[in-house]
Amino acid sequence: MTRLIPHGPYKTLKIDGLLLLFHPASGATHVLDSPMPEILELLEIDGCDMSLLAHRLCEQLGVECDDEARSVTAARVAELIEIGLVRSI
Amino acid sequence: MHVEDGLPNDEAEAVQDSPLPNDPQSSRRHLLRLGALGAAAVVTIRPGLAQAAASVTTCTIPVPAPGTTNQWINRNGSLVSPNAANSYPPPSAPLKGVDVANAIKYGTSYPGYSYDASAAYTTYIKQLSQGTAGFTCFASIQNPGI
Repeated sequence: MTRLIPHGPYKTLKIDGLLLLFHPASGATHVLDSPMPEILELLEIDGCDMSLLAHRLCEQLGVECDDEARSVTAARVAELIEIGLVRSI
Repeated sequence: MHVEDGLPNDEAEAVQDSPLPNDPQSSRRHLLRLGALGAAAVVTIRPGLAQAAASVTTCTIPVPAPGTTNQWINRNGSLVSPNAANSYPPPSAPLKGVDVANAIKYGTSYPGYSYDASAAYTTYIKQLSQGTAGFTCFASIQNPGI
């Protein structure tokens, strides 16, 4: 089963509901809007697979974990993997 | 932020009309984000190329990336088990940006390492992807202005 883990370390700063994140490994700075910070936070606590992550994220945000929520979670995680903040192992 | 402006009107209205548990503003924002794939949730700021170019002489590239312990690099630049055929132990210290630039441009070897091992390290470095340790250093070496 593919497990998702954060690819830290990061330096972060919360600004007006957004997360400013400096990623030393790539030298890039990212401005993250919800649900990206929540996804990273959940993976920091406990790396898990996509299905469990979607379930936990919906629970945290108080939304129903339907097909749309799962597909949005998968798409957002794919973006985090693409910019190097999350790894799939 | 522009993320809010990127939402289709009908979607934003639909969310506003929906009854939300406790209806806090933050939950509304979250629901909006989770349901709106069209809106950007990431804006990335990269170091300027000029700044990166200036750091080539001082930046370093770890081979392999930290966290990949006890692996050797083979001729194709892949990480393999120690003592695998055509593979070489990793360098004892991160490679200097200026040495990597010379190796890529002129095929020179890294100080203290054989020609074959150096070629394997360079091949590994060329396969670095965004987000990997050393990528920014490698990217700045690619700058033709150097």
